[in-house]
Amino acid sequence: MKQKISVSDLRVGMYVELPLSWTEHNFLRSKFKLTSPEQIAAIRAHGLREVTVDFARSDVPPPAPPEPLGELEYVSHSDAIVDPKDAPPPPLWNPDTLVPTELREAVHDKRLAPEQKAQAVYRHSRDMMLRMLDAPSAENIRASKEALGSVTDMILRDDQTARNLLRITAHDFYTYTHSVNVGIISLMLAKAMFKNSDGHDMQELGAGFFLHDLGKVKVDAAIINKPARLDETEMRRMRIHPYQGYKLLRDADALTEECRIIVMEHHELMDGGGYPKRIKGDQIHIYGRICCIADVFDALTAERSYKKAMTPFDALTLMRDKMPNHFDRQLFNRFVELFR
Amino acid sequence: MRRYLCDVCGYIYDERLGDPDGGIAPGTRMEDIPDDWVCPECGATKAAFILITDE
Repeated sequence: MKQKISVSDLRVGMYVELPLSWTEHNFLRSKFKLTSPEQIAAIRAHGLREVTVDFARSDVPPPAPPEPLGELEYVSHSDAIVDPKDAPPPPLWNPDTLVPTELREAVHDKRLAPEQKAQAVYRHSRDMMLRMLDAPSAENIRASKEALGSVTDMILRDDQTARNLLRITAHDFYTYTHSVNVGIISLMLAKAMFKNSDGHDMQELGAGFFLHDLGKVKVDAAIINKPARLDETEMRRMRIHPYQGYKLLRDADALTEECRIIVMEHHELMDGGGYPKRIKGDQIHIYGRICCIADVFDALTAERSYKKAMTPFDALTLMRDKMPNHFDRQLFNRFVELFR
Repeated sequence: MRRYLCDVCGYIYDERLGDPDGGIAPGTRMEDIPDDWVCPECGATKAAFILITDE
């Protein structure tokens, strides 16, 4: 008994059949039983609206059919095609529900071993980031920023958990995973650079690193989720995300101006070959230069449908040999030491 | 009439609408816009604009 189910109605226990070929998604199989909310989140993050569920192989019954609607409602809720980025954010998350309780608990837990603490903080940070990118309202952005500030504090204070975080970063396809990875990696470099100096608001800085790709919510989901390299036009459409992220943060009145610059400048390269402003060298804020190194490193070590993941060693070698003019040399040397 | 995307910020220049606040009348084609015109959203120059629809 198969039925098309809206992604918002998916539940753990349902046996789904993804309308994608095996190479287009990150699951082991195209047909499987949902065993965790993360899988549902991953399906949603893929931009799918409906999937087929085989209820003969599911642990849960089909959802009850919706109440019949009045005629007027039929009209107002017609199947008009709405560009996903024009649609209002789903009323899924609000500042009270956005930050997983487990994240707050894990950050402040003094008894957890560093490995477990890192696992919990990592997993629940990704959940939060996924929720925020799903519903990037000004108040949700501010709520996530507050929580990221406490994650930042923990990374600065607790060296052992921080080292474990660096080690366990996952390397999938999703913006929320990449956001958390780049947040952690950038912060480790910032910590190494700034540990003996005042004058850096590390909480703001950390949040800025985690939120560096916020503007991707303004780019067509078809481009973000494309399971292949982007062509020239798609690439240029992708290039608006630093500015759009900056603008979202400005409009949400989140982060200091200095830290919003991270979002704007994380794709600028030292030789001026980056974007969006094509600035070079010292014109790029040091926070932007830090985030750029972490961003490229995470992209190289992540798996994509069109390329294998590189090992950290290979990624660092490639960055040194093939991109000699892209990065701030002093920062890059310090970055390499993080992986010794 | 064509539409162009600013690849710095995502602003769309629609030839039909022009940019009246920037002194560009509705119906002005991209090639007729003065070179010192900048994107009203982010200040990028004309070089940042790419054609996205041609009707």
